[in-house]
Amino acid sequence: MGSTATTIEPRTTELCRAVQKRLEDVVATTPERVETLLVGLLAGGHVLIEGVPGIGKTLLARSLAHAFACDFKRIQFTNDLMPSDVIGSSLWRPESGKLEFQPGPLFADLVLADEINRTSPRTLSCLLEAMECGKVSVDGRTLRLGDPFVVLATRNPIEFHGTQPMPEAALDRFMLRISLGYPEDQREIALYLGDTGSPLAAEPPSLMTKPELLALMREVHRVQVQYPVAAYGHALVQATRRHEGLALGASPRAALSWFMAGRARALLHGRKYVLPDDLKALLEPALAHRVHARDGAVPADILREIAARTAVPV
Amino acid sequence: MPALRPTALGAKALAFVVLVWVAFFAAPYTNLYFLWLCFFGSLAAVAIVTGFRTLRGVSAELVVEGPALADTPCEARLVLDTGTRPRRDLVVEVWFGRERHEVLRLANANGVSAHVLRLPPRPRGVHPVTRVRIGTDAPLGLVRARLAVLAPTELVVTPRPLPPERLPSLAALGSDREAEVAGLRDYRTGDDHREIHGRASARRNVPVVKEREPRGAEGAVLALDRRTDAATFEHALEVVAGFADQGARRGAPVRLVTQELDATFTARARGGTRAVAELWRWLATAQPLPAEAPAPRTPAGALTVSRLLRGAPRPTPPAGTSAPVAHSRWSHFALLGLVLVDLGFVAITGAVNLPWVLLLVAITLATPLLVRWRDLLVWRVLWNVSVLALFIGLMRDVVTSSVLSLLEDGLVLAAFCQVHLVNNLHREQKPDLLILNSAMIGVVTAFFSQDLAYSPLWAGYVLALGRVLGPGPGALGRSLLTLLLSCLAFVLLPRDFERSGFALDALRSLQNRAMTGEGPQDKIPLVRDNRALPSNAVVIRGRITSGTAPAEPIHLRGGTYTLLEPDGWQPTRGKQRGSNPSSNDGWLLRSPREWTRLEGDSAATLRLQQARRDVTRLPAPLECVTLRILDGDPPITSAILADGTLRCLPGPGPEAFAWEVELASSRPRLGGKVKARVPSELMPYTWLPSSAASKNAEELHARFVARVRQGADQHELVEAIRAGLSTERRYALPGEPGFAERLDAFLAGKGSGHCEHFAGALAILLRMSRVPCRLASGWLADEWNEARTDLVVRDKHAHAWVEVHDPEGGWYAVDATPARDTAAAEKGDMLGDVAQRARSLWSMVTGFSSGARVALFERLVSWQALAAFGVAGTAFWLVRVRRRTLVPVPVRQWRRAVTRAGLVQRPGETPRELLERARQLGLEPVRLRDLETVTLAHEAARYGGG
Repeated sequence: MGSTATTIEPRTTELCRAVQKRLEDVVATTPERVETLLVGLLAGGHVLIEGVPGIGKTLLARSLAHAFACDFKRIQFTNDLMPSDVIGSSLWRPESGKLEFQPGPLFADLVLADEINRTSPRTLSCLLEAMECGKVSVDGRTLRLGDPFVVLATRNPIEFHGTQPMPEAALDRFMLRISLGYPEDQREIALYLGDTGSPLAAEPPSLMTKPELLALMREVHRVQVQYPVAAYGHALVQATRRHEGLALGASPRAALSWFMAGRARALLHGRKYVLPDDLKALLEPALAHRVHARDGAVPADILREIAARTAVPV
Repeated sequence: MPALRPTALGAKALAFVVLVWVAFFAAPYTNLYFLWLCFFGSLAAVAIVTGFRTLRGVSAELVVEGPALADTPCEARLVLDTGTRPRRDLVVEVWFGRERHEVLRLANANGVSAHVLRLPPRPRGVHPVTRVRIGTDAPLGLVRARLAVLAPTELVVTPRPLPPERLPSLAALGSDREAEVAGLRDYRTGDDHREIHGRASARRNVPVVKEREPRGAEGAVLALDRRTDAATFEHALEVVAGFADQGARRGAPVRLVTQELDATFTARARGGTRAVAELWRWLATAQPLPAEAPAPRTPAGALTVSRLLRGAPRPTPPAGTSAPVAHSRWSHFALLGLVLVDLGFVAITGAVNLPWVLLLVAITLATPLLVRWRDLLVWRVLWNVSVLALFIGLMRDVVTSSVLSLLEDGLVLAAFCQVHLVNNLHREQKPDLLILNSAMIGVVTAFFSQDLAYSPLWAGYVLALGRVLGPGPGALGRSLLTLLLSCLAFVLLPRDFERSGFALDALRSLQNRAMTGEGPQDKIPLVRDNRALPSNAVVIRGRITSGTAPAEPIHLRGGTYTLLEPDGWQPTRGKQRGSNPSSNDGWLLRSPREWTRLEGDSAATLRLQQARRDVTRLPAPLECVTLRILDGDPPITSAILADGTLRCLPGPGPEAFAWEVELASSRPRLGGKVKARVPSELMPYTWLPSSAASKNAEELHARFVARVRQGADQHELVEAIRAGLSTERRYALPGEPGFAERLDAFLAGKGSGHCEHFAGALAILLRMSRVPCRLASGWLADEWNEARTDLVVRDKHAHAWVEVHDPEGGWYAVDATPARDTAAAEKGDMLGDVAQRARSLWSMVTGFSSGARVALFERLVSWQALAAFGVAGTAFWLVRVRRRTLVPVPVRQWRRAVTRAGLVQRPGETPRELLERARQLGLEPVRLRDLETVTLAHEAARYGGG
């Protein structure tokens, strides 16, 4: 057992809350979704955002990067996007007589991969490799990507024109999945009225520096998971593997990723230990895209049912 | 805290046990009977404690989600928290007013669990839920423990909404097809086929439908005129309910305009709209109005419900469900067979007459027919009155018959209980009790039939008890605890071991006559059936008041038998002899209370006292110098019986009387020759009917006589025959293998026999040699204490032997019966040793007396015993403490706080979620603060490792 302190500094918590509040103001969405996005960032995981076009996905990612003073790049995935368009390519420089590597948009701290399910499998696998390793190999050289390196991918609802289904292995690379729906009625009306202001009109200063973010991400690893919580998580994972409605349950990698997200959520709430509530809140974002349902069942419904009947150890 | 209440079976069992206690006090004290009662008491105590413990720490909450539909079973959810222990046989009952409904039965429950149950169909309306309780009647069904369950105080039952296909003008509520497509998902049963996405389905090879963002429609406006008849009104309410249901599903508002109501309802209350839950409540309570009531205001474009009724036929109400059957037909027949087997057991022991058994068998076989009338009060009254009448008849039989048959009658009562139980199986009785009762019948039957079978059957009974008292590793512990409690009660409870039953005393004082007791009998039959074995009951107690106890067993003769008749040995016929010394078998009356028999010195004085008032003879050894009746108040009348023994008739007082015998110091000198011509006064003692001198007897006699040397005197001849018989024949008790029921078979060597066989055979063989002899019966007393000062004569010491008249020494006793211990030792096998050990152990129970109790107490208060108790107590305490510490303190504190708040942790609910629920429920600030503090402490300790 490491540190005996069970809470973190209040300032850190306050800063995280402030970031969350700003994002909620920018994009008219629920606090839970914003919190999940922050959890993904703090845990160093990649986040898949699902939603129809025009609901503020790009804005959300950009605001997130700005809040932490991180480099932000956006890649619009299309059918004809090539891997070199993502990674970058070597260009001949006549003045120096050498090939010079021109980094692509992947070389950033926060990368928004827009409409990821529109691109070809080739480009997608290139992106997935970069997501997995955090570095790319170009011309025999291995180049590190950003630190932190977090990909926020958006995906239109499947089977829209020009989209392709994503394989399970590709989905498994994402730590969390968020479904971004339409804003609530009142907030949308408020948007029309323009009383929320233009978020890009005058960008407020960043709330946290990049080194502070990195320190916070390192702090995530120090959050404790006690045995009762681990046993609870294991019981939930086992339940996904035994459930009749699921052809494929959660894998150990998925569970590890889920627990890491739980640690980040605990840190976000000012705790240095994970509660069953953390795991329960992240059950659907972390596992719903990683389990495979059968007979037309909806994984999210099954996960909710599992969580509702699995006893919480007290 | 659970409340306890006896079940119907428990009340009957209580009445039964009270009657058994009355019977116990009516008859003289018997150890086995008392042990049985101790066991009943222990079983009741365990049943009560188990019932209490089953519900202790249990909390439950009944959750009814949404309104119930009229005349349709309503699904509800029971959230049950059993804490750290599993519970079994839980029953949930719901009371609507005075109506009780059993809605759920749980064989096992462990931890936090949720159970779906169906509340009984109710008519439309708001029904107050009087109480919801969880109870248990485990393990025996004698006591029901009950605990209140958190539940809603009322059940809102709304009209059944008409299905969408029966509702016209439903388009006003909008359609899902018009909504925006939000995505695709796999097809689910019930989805509209028009929503199937063909291209995606073809690509994925599974049907895929379009998922749309819900979009609120304008809604419907319903105008309801309540001025109508009841049937039409109910139909109209179903139409409104159908619109409300569909509106809630589609997110469309429904406006209802009727008399005294004009409101718009949506799924959730918003500005200007009310929650649809309010509409459900209104629909549950709405009533039609009289025709003179004002008409409702009908807005423009409103759908008039009365018009909608024409195109909306009512669906047929669902058929009612039948009541669950407690036991299946096959299990009922299996239990029926069990009862018949038990009755067979009872019949085998001969404990009950055949008509009784036939009656019980007839009732048992008729049970499937009888249960048809189980719901008739008249039938139940008749049945119970019959049971009471039969019981009284049986009790009368118990009181008026031999006291030793009490246990046998208890066996009959147990069989009768079996029949009673099987006839009431449909009610609250549990088959477990039937099985337990069967085990007890088996045990008692074994006790009557064979001692050896008793121990394994007792072990089997313990296992059966474990099966009844619960599954799991604790079951055997509970059964052993029951047995331990029984033994402790048997040992510790003070009682009068010498008590005679009040019923016998009353009968005796009324009839002023002696009861027939065991020991000396009117005759000794030649044919023996398998009758019950004599018990360990004390008959006579003796004490040496002077001199030393004789080394050999004392033959206390209580009766003699001279005449051998075809059906057995009979006493001398004739008038009761008076004081004529010549015909008094040697007795000489010296004073009204003192008789002498022999001349000479006395070696010891033995004071004898009757232990049972039904012993009316004055047994005395043959070698008796003086017999003196000790003072008693009121005076005792004594007389000599026709068989030469003394009889004593005490007055009506309760005191037991005592007498004193002086034992002769020397034995008679033997040695006379067999006389060719027997004196006339000894002629009756040599007479032998021709039927007795069978071929087998003659062969045996010839073989034994051939061993006697020429010129031997009578005593040598007698001794040769006795020794031959004693060694060539085996001892056996009735019921044991090889027991000869006829004396002729015993003589022929075709079976073993007991003392009466040996004595009868010896007398026949001696009379074939013209040796004067007679049979004597009484007790063979040899149970001395260690100091050989106190003598105990038990019923099982009853014995028969032969008295031979020596030409020189007169009458003396000759005993041909081999010792039973010797016979067992000769067997020499392990089975015999085990049987002997088991028998001796069992005799500790049956022979338990006040002296044994005092000795046991003395041993218990010794320092070794106290040290053992201390060690055992400390170990028990340590185990308890260890078990308590296994549950961390924060967890215990949190559980207590939750219980104090009156909440139950639902499955899958975290402590924080529970806290949030408590906040929403508006818990008292003090309780809420308490719960918050404890929850945070619990989190830090359990999940934070603090």
